[in-house]
Amino acid sequence: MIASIIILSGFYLLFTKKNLLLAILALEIVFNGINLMFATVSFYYGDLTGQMIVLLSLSVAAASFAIGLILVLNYYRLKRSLNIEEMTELRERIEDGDRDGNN
Amino acid sequence: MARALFMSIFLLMFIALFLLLLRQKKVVYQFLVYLGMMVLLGIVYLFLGSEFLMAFQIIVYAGAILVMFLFFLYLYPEEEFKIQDMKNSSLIKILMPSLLFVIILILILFAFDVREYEPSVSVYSVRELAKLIYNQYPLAIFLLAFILTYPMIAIYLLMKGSGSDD
Repeated sequence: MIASIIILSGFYLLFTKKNLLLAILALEIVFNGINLMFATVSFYYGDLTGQMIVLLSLSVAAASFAIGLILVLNYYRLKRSLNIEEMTELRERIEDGDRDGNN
Repeated sequence: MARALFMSIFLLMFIALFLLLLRQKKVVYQFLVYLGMMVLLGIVYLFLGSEFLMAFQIIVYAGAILVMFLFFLYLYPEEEFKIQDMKNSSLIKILMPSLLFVIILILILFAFDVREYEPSVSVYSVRELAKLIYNQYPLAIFLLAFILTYPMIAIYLLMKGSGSDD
């Protein structure tokens, strides 16, 4: 239950804040919730596999955080902004003719 | 009994820290609160009997990640890290999958009985592996499926919401 709450709070933070850095932080919280779930299940079933998965996951989380920070840094250098809603370069462009229903 | 009490205390502390994190306006303070959350999580790992995991958690999160992030913050002006909240209508739409997740999780936890399954031929057979997964690990599969589908639903809702504003 605690792990579920941690995961949901991470998702809440991810979708309510517009800052790119906070999005990375929210993803880390989600990672931690999942890790806690693995560790709890491992504890209750007496199986060490869950803890090994958590170790692996922690390493991957650290690496992904570093890569995320690098991407944010480069994006900020490029655009001078960290607002998620301004990241619209890859979205589909709608032409004026298509918008009116004419091909 | 003692474990349930400790977990309740941890849950309350975690919620308090999370509310504090939401209230903070500066990213530096938010990450400091996050540091507190990670240390709290490390204590829970200690309580679950995995000391090595606690050490790893604190070294990785309190040490590596936080220091890396603070170094990153030194590079940029502070006014860029202001936080803006979303509109309430889009928030409700986005949190609907979370509600669905909670309902299905409760259903799986309380209504689904986990059955032991011994593979008859070999684990390398895809059919036997599928039977094993769906009989013995339904919760793990559900969580994996949810983690994979949630961002898609949320992105769809976000794009739909932003499209109506144009």
